[in-house]
This record gives sequence, structure tokens and C-alpha cells, in this order.
Amino acid sequence: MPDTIDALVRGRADLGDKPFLIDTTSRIDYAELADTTSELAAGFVAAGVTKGSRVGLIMPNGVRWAQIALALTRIGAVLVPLSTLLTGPELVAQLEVASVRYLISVEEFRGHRYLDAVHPERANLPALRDIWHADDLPTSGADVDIDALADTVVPADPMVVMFTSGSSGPPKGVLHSHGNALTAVRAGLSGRRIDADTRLYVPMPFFWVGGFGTGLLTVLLAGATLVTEAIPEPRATLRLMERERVTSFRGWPAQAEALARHAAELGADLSALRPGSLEALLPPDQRSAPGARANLLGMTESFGPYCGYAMDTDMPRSAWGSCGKPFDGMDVRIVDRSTGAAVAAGTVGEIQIRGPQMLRGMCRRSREDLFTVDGFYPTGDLGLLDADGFLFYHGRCDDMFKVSGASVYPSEVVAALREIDGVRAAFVTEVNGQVGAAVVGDGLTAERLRSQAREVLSSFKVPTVWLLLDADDDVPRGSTGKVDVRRLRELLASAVDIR
Amino acid sequence: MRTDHPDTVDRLLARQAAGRRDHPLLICDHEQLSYRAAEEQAAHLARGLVALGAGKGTHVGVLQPNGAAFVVAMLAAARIGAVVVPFSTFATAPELRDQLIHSDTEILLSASGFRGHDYAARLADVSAPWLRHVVFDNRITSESAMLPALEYDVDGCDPLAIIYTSGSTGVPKGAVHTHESLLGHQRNLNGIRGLAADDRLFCNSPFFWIGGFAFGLLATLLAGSTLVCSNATDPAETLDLLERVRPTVTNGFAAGVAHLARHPSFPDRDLSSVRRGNLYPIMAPDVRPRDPELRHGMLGMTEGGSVVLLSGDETDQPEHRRGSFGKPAPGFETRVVDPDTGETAATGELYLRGPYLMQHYHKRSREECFDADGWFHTGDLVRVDDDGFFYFLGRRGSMIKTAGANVSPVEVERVIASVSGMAAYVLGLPDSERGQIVAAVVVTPDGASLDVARLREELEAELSSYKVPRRFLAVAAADIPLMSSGKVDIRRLAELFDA
Repeated sequence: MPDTIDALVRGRADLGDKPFLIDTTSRIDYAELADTTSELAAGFVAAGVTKGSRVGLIMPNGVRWAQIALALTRIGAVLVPLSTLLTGPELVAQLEVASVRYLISVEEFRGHRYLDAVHPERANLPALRDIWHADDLPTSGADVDIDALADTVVPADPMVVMFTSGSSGPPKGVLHSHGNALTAVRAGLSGRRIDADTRLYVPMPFFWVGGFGTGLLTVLLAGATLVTEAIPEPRATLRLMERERVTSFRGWPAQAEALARHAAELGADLSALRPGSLEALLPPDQRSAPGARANLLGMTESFGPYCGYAMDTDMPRSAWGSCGKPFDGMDVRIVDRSTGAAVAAGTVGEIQIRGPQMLRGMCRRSREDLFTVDGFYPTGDLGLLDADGFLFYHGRCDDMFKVSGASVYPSEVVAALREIDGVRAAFVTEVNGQVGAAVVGDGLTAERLRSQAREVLSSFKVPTVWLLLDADDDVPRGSTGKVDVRRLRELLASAVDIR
Repeated sequence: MRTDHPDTVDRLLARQAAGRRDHPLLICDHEQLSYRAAEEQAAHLARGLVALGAGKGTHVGVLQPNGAAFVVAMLAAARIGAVVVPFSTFATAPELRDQLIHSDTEILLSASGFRGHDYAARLADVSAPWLRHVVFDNRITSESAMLPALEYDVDGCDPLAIIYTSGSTGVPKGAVHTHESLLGHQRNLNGIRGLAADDRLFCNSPFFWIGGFAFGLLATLLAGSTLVCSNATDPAETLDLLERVRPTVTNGFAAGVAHLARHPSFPDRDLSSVRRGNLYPIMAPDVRPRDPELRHGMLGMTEGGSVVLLSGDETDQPEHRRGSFGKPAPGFETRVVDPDTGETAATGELYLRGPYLMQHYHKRSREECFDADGWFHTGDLVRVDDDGFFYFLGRRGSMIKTAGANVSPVEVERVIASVSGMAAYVLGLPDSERGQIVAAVVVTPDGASLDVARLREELEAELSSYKVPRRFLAVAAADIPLMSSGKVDIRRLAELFDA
């Protein structure tokens, strides 16, 4: 079967009344999916959508999102999923970057009225031809032979422009083909232990790879069932999971913990859950030791994880804390950021990747700006490959800094500090040309931390500026819970007296 | 590839229309098109295309012989970010249909007829899934007002054209090239060949293949010079044109001007203006080579955006450099690889890498077009001497190169079988004028003679004329020379024609 959305949707139609997607209020089976996407596609074609047309979609998770997205991609239109979290100016910027020709939007979601921002900017969006409300899509009067149109689509054809969630700099619209996206999804199936019997709960928004690739396309490829919801809320989620007998929970870790707290009090029956689900929801005897299971590593540019390990299996002890091994077909190398040369096993450097699951390009960017001459994509992530080929993640390159000309990777220092008795958490950053560390723990002294860190770190990596905190609440954080590095640096700068 | 130069056709056209104004861009027989007229006519046609639904990324076919209508159609499509898909004027109805389908062409800008080809009739019965409009002779009545904003929206990294190779093995190969890659490459080549604003370039390569499209048309547009071409069937008319317009440079395929040199009036013609280029028979006598093999040749290919090996030295070379094709064009990395060992060697297949190569073939992934390290395997066998000069040795595969066009033996064999029911072996025979000619060994019962005239007529209905074999031989199946492997021995097959 060729790797196109159309081949998958048509091929899966013989699963008949097996549910494909279930949301809070509606559900659709595989036979209905094939029929309804054909009808929708006929309407789109009659309204002017052609192969290669960029079509934006703003809508929360649900059956309707999937129908529209799959209808468009079946006929070779290029889907541009847009985040429901976007502000007006951000939305306009993404429409412009992706040259969106047709826009489909809900009227309103969680207080956002998306089109209010778009209408006044039409003059600055020359590519935009038409805007359709999600509940009033074009219908076809004439006979359109959807299968004949869909037959022209091949795996190499573009399928989707996904915007990365990164907020700094101009928006990055990452272009994926049917072939590379489905290769990426297929690569993750076995490690994630997903097969036709899986009923997978994924609340991640479909407009990001976490929802579209590792949720929607994953179940389509496996012939499985996806359970999702637009606005997760613990009680409703538990009832949904219980009702649909979800076998695999792949939500957010914090969500899993919240659900675990409520589950007992509600008496929710989650016995259908199988290993590979987030551990907070599994019975204690099915949980693994911290670090024993791989943290899948992936990005929008690789259409999801490119590295992993069977999620119900402990890795070898030496690989604990790693992201597992690169998937088959993926080339991963670690290079020195300043020379571009590959480094030896066990050395931290930038992770560069290439392979058939990688992006095809980025909107308004030349190939030469994105890839090395030999085809690697510099991820901007730091990591190391050990001698056995396990990949360890060491934070973003942007976090790296130089002290007296030598590179310091904060994550490496943090990992060393966390091994010290009494340390509950540690944060490392550059302070006035020195290595600064804020450490949360009990009964610590800078002297003891320094001497123990010296035993495992090269001397230039050992922090020279220390800030000891009693509680995690003392760590400055932004509204999303991420550490506020700028304020942390200010605290460290004023803390030099306790060196 | 970031430069201050215009990196899109629309910006280049705007600059040249303002700077070169009434200077002729094109002189084709008795037709003349100034820079300003080209800009105005292309703007008019572009508005019509937009009214038909074209925009950024729309595939617009162009089926026109060399002339102003081709130039205007190409510029009109390019300036709105549509992708130009040139069609060969040699194409039969089945060939047109195949390329229309394969290229996902939505709008075809066609001549109504040319040299006895009635395209209106030929296209009447042709349909393709995405083909919505066929426009004859650039006549569109409706117009859109959106042009300036659309032009602003075109980027250098957007695809400019899908250029189909002249050879095909059943699966067509359309090389996708961006604005910035084709323009950047021609800008470099103009520097080497010294093409400047006061030059007049006579070019006999068709605009629908890469040589005419890039090394002729785009190169002229970049230089602000004048392109001279002729569709006259009477050699005297072409010679009249050369005397009247007085080109300074010639480029194209030498066999295509051999008939000019044979014309009775040739000795009395004044060709003193023609000082540079490679159409030696029509250059001024004092600058013709002593022996064409002592001048650097040029190697071009669709995938490389035209010429990839050349030299700016237009003098006769020493005897030991006989047959040189010069050196790689700027921006191209080369490797010469022994096909048997895969190791770098002095003689072997030419590999190319760099920003001026195609992005990929239409409907094929990059992985299907380039190796993992980003090299394009050209299929051309070359030798490199100690001074770094390259020598072309032939095609690695069996592709026949006749008069500048590639002919796939497999394709011709298949058509012979379909029209005659007889098996055939098609091969290239050396020819002093065309490089190679297409020849066919047809397997007849007991070697019975062949109705060549009838077979040729049947083939001409199916194949472009350059693909139709010039020599036929009827051979009994038992007399087909075989190798020990059981495969046909092509070398001994060719010798049958000498008998």
C-alpha cells in the first residue's frame, strides 16, 4: 500500500464499523470516515481546492477536525493546521508565512474569535482566496470523481505544513510529505506498543505533531481507535477513559498525576490500561524505576519521535535516563558546534539527524539554510551517543555557554549535581562569565557541593557561583511553569556572597 | 545564496523592464519583443491567470515553440509564483496526456498550432485529472486586480519550473528548480561566458528544455541582452536573420545549424558579428576552431539547471586536452566514482552536489533522487586529467543521446512492440552529426523483411520524431547475438548494421 493518506483511508474502510475516533460528544467509524471524507473533498474541489492548495484549519480536537484534515490530504491539498492558542497577529503571520489559500475556522473557541483578526488583514494576505466557517463548508452539486483525483497523489507529494510551538523568531512552517510523515509515524508504532487492538487516549492538540502524528495518524496507520477531547478536565477525562476502555494513555505527565489523584475518589475503572501508558495511572506493580524507560525524543521537523525504545521494557542499566536508540533508517550524529566535526562517543555536542522521516523543507526558507551539505538537519538540541548507540538529551544549544573559551552544558552539570545526596533539584546557568548553580535541597553547603561536583566534572564545569534554596517554590518561574532564567541569573548575581 | 541580486523572476523582470525598456529581449524571425513589452504583456496575462484561479504553487503548462508567446507565458506564470511546466512541441497526444497527468497541470497555455501540429485538435480529446483550463495563444478575457500583492509574495526558494528531461523510461522525470537556483546558476555562467547587456545571443535550443529555458532565456534576461532564435524551415531565412540581427554569441546544438552551413548561399553570408559560443559552423571564419574537438565542450543536464561543465577559455586547446569539457561550474562539488567499486577514481560516474541542482524530481522524494550524502549520480561517465579538466565518455546506462535529446531504448522498444506486435532491440549508433542515431533491430519470423515505411508511420503517431529510429534491421530470433548470461549483446547487435 503506498504511503498516502488516501490509500490509508480507502484501505481501512473495510474495518467497517470499528471506531476510528471518539471525542466527548461524537464518534466515527472507519467506513464512515471513507464516505464522509469523500463527500467533503468533493465540496472542496468544487470550491476551487486543488492538489497543492494550502488550506488552513483552526479547530479544537474532535471528529470534525479529523474529517476535514483527511478529506483535504486525500486529494493532495496541503493541510496547514493552526493552533487554537494563537493570538490574532500570530495567526495572520502564520497564514502569510504558509501562503494559505483557503482558511477553515470555527467561529469561536475559548474566547478566541479568530476571523476578527484575519478580515482586516486580507490586503496583506494575497494568497488567501476564501474563508469558510467550519459549520458551513462548501458542498458539491456536481459529480466529482474523488478517487481519480486522489489517485494522482504519491508519497513524495507535500501533505502538511506544521508550525512549531517555539515562540522565538519568525514562525517556522515545517513542510512534510505523505511519505516522510507516515514513515515517521510507522517508525514509532512498535516501540509505543500500538496495534489494531489499541484504544489510545491522546489529548494533545491535532494542530501539533503530538496530536496529529502520534495521535490521529498513528491510529489510522495501525487501524486502531483514538479517544480525544477538546478541553481535558480530570473528571470528564476519567469518565471518557472508563467508558471507552482506553488501553493506552499518552497525555501529559502532570495530567496523568491529576487523573491518578481523582481516580480513587471517583472510583474510576482504568483496568483496561496496559503497560506503555504513563506510569502514574498504572498499578504500582507495573511501574518502572525512574529512568529505566526511554524518554522519546522528537520534534516537529522529524514529525514526532526519531529515537526511542520499547515503552513497556526497561533499557539496559547503562542507558537509563537516555532517549533510547535512533529508529531504523535514521542517521544521528553528534557534532562540535564550532567546528561542525563529528565527536567521539560519550561526548556532548549538537544532535544532527537525517533520514526518510525528516521534513521536506520549511516555508520561505532555502534548503541550504536548513540542512548541511550532506543532508543533516541541525536540531539545535544537545546530546551524546554512548558506545552502545543510546542517545542522551542534554538540553537546547541555546542553553550552552562558554567559560574561558570552554563549552559548558547546563544539563550535564545539573545531572551531576542531582547525584549528590540531599539535592532535590538544580538549575545551572551562566552568571557574569562564570558557572552559576541554584540548588534546592536539605543540609547543603556550597563547599560540599563544590567538592563533590569536582569528583565528576571537569574543573571548568564546576559552578563557582552558588545559590542554596530550601524549597522549589523559591525558584523563579514564568506563568507556564518554566524556570525564568533571566530572574534566576539576577538572583545568582546577587548571591555571590555565599560562595 | 543570499545576495543583493533579484532572486525571483518577477523582481528580475521589474528591474530589467525599468532599466532596459525598449531594448529587445527577444528577436525570433520577424517577431520582436522588448523588455518593456514583455513586462506589460506578462502582467496582462498574469492577471488573466489569477482570474482563472492560478496563484502561488499552481502548475501552469506552457506548450509553445520558441518565440514571444513562450516568453510571455513563462514570465506571467512565474511572476505570480505559479510553477512553469514547459511541454515539448514534439509531443504526440499520448505524450502530452502523460505529462499533463504526471505534472498535475491545472492550466495549459498552448499555441493553437505550430509547423503542422494542430494542438487544438490534439488537445481536444486529452483530459487530465487536475486540468481545468486550456488557453490558446495566451488569450484570457477576464482579469484580476491582485497582481502586485501576489508578486510580493514570491520567494527565491519557491519552485519556478518543472523541466521534463527529454529521455524517459516510461516514468517521466520532471526536475523541480527554484527561482534562486536557476537564476543564481545562470548569473555565474554569464560571468564565465561573458554574456553582457550589449550581446545578442543566437540560440537554437528549444525553450521547453533546460538549455533553451535557462542557458538561453533566463541567461538573456539576467544579462539584459537580446535572445535571437528562428523557427524558419528555409535555411536562407535563418541566414537572413543572422545577417540582419548580427548576433555576437551562439549557443545550442551544432547539428541543428549544419543545414545552414550546407546552404548554397552560405559562402557569401556575412557572419563576422559572431565571435563566441559553440555553434562553430556559423561563427565568423577567423574565430572558428581548427578542430572542434580542440575547444572545450559543455556538459549540461536538466537536473543541473543546464550547463555544469564548461570553460571560459574559447581558444583552441593543446592536443593533449582534445575532447575536454572544461571544469565544474561555480557552486558545484564533484566526485568521480568508479561504478564497480564505489570509490573515487580518475575515470567513472560523475556525481554532483550543490545549491544549483534540482530540488528533486516531481513526484519523487529526495531520497529517490540523491544519495544519503546529497550527491546526484548523473549517469554520465567522465575522466578527469591532472589539470582538473573533465572529459565526457558517454552515458552509464543505455540512454541514446541524439541531437541533444535523450532517447530511452526501452520506451521505443515498447512502442514498436505495441504497434507491430514484434519484439525489437533499440540502440544508438555513432553518427558524426547527431552524436548518435536511434536504430532498431526488429525480430521478424525467420528474418523476413520488414515494411519499414509502414512501421515508421505507425511509430510517428506515437513517438516524438526524434525518438523514431532512423535505421531498421530485420533479424530472425535465432540470429540475435546473446551473451553467456543470456542477455542480448548490444555491442554485437550494433555490428549487424555494419554488415
